[in-house]
Amino acid sequence: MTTPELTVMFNAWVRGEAGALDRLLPYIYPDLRALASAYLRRGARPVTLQTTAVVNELFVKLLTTQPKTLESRRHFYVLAARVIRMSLVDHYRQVQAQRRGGHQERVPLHDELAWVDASSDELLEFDRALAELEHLDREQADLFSTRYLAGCTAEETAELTGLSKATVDRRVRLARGWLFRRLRGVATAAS
Amino acid sequence: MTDDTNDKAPARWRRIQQLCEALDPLADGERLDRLIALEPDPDIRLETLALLQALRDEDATQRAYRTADLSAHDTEGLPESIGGVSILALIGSGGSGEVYRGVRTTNGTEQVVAVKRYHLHRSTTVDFERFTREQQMLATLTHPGIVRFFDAGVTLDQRPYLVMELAEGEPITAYGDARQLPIADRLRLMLAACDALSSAHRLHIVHLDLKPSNIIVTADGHVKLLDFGTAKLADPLAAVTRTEPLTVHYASPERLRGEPVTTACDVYSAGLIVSELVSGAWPFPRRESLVAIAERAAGGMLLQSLARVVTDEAARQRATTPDKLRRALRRGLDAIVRKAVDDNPARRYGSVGELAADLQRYLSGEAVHATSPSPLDRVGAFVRRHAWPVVAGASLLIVLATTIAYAMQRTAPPEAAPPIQRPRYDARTSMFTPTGTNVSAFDDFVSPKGALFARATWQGIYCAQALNQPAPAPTATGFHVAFFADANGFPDRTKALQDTTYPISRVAQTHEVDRALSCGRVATTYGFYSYAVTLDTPFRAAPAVRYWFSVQAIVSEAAAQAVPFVFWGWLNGPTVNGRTVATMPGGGFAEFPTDRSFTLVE
Repeated sequence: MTTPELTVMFNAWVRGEAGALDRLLPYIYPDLRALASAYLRRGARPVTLQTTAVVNELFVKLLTTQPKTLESRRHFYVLAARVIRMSLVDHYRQVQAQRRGGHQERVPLHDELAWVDASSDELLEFDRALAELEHLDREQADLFSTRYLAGCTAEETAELTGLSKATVDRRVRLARGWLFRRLRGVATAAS
Repeated sequence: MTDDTNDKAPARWRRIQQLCEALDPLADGERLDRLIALEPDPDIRLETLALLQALRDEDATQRAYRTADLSAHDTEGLPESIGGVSILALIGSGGSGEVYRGVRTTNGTEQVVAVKRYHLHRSTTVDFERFTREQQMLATLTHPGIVRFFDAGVTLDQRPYLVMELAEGEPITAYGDARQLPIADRLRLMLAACDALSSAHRLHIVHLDLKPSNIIVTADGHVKLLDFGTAKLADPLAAVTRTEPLTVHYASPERLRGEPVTTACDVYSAGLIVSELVSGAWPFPRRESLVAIAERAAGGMLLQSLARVVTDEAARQRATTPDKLRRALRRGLDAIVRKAVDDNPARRYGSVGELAADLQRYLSGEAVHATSPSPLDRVGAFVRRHAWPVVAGASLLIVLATTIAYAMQRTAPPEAAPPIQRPRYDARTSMFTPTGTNVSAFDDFVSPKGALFARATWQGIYCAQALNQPAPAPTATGFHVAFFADANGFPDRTKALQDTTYPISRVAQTHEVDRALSCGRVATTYGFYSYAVTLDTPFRAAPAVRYWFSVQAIVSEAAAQAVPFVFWGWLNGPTVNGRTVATMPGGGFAEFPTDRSFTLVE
C-alpha cells in the first residue's frame, strides 16, 4: 500500500465510484477507534494535539498528496466528516458491547448539537437520520457534516463551499431542524 | 414508498426549505397567512410548519442543554487548600482546569501564589514518576522573565496541580493594543520574552505552548512567561486524563504531526506572536477546525505578505498610519516572520536568540538577515551559502531543494552560476545547521563504514555525509544507507548501527512528491522524487527506539546528475493493516512487519 494508491482510492471516492469508500476504509480503519475517543474527549473544547495526532497519520498523507484545489479540499473535509462519523458509531457499538450496566456520562456530539448524546443510542438514531438526509439532499448533508463533524467554523465552511456565511448558517440551521425532528419528533404545536 | 414519490422527494424538500427560509424570520401571526398565500399543497404546508416548529424546538433544546452545562461547572465550590496552599480566590478557569490565588507558608513567611489544578477524568491514573521528573526540571528555571515554579503534586482526588509565582497582567498582544503601543515598543517587549525563552532553551527546556496569553505584561511593565514546560508536564497526563493541555493554534506543523519536540517549535510559535504583535494578523489564514489544523500539519501553507493584510484598525492600534505600517512590515518584519514560521524547522532561525538578534537589527535600523526572495533564489542562495551537500535534520525539503539546485546547475547554460565545488567536510568542525550555527553537540557518531556521520544533539540527530572519511564515492549505480538509533531522543544513547552500499536497482523511485508539500515553490517543474529503500539485511529493531536512517542516494540514473544527498526519517510510523509504515518526510515511506524485525521493501 503506497501513498499514491491511497490517493487513487481517494480520487475514486471523490468521483463517486461505487465501492471506493469500501476499498479506502481498511486503511483508515486502524485509526478509527482512536479518532472517536479523541473526538469525544474533545467535546466542546478547542482542538488539541491529541485530536490532531489521530487525524494526522492518514489525513496528512492524503492532504500532502492532493493538489490544493478548493474542490479537493472540500471533498477531503467531507471524507473527514464521514470517517469521524463512522468512527463514532463504531466506537459506540464497541463500548456498548463491553458495557455491563452503569450510568454513562452524557457526551454532547458538538457544542452546538448538545441535544445529541454521543454516548447513547441517540448516536445511532442520529447516524440513521443523517443518512436519510444524505439520501434526500446530499449537498445539505455534506454542508452539515463539514460544519459539525469535521468541525469547521461557519466561515471555513463558507470558504470551502463558496457560499456566503449567511447561506451556510441558514442551510445548516435547516438541516439541524430537520434532524431534530427526525430524532425528537414534532413537539406539540406552539401554544 | 414508491419510486414515484421517491423521485419527488428532493423537489418537495427543496420547496419546503425555500418556504422555511422565507417564513422563519416572520412573526408567528404572519407565518400561516403567508404560507397559505405561497403554497397551495396542503401536505407541503404541513411539512413546512412542522420543520419551522422543529427549528424553534431545536433552538430551545440547545439553549436548555447549554445552560445546564454551564451551571454544572459552577456548582463546584472553592477548595479550602490545595497542596498546602490556602486558597483565596478563583482567578481563572478553562478547558484544562482552574487557577486560584492562594497563600503559601514556607519557613514562617507567607507568600501569595497561583495554583493551577487540572481536571481529571474519573477512571484514570497519573504517571507520578514522570510528573515528578518533569517538575524537578521546571524548578531549575529561575529567570526573572519566567514565572517561578514552586511545587507540584496530585490532590487526594487524583487531580494534578502546580504551585507557581503569582503573576497577573495582560497578554502581550492585548497589552500593546490597549495602549496603542508602536511597533518598536511591542518588539522590545518581545525581546524580553525571547531572552527568557533563550534562558530556558539553554537548559534544554522547551515551552511548547507559547501563545500571547502565556506571555503577559504585568502592571509595572515586566514581561513574564507563564506555563513554562507545563505543556510537557501535562502531556503524559493528557492521554489518560481529561486535561486539555494545549491549544494547537500556535503549534508548528512538525509538532502537530507529533514529531520530536525541539526548540524550533518555540521559534515557530514566537514567530506567529511577532506577526500578531506587528500586524495584528498571521501570514496565513487563521483556521481552527480539526481538519484545518490537520491541513496545517501537512505543511505547505502559502504565506502571504503581512503588508497586504494591514487594516486601518491594526495601524491605529500601533499609533501609525496603514501606509507607514505597510512600509515597516516590508522593511524587514515580513521577512523575519516568514523565516520564523517556515514549515521547515531547519529554515527557521536556529534559535530564539537569532530571532531576537534580527528583531534587534530591525529596531536599530540595520538590514535584517532574513530575506524573502523568490523561491528559486532562495534555493540558490542556500546552496551558495552552504557549499556542501549535506544536511541537517528535519529538512528533507531543503535537501531536495539543494539537490534540485545541483541538478539545475549541472544542466544550466554557461552563463548560470558557477558550478559548485564538491566540498570537503570536516565532521568535527563544520557548522551544522543551515543557519550557520553550531548546534550544541552531545556526541558525534560515524557509521561503521565511515561514510555517514551523525551528530547527536538535544535537538535531534543531525546526519551528514563525511567526505573526509574514506567513504564510497557516489556513483550512478549505488547508494549508501546508514542507520543511527537514539533511544527516543536521548542523545547519550545514540548508536551507529550499520551502513551498507546498495545497487541503484534496489532504489525504487516511488512517486513524485506532492505539490502541496512543496507549496508550489519549485516542486513540479523540476520534479521532487522520493525513494523506497530495500534492505538486504534484515534488521532487528529494539522496541521503543526511534531509528533514524540516513541515506546517500542517487537522484537519477544518469551519471551526470548523480548527486549525493542525505535525508532522514524514522521507522516507527503508524500501523496500517498490521504493517508498520515508516514515513520519510517528503512522502517516501517504507513498510515493515510489526514483529519489529523488519525489512524495508519497495
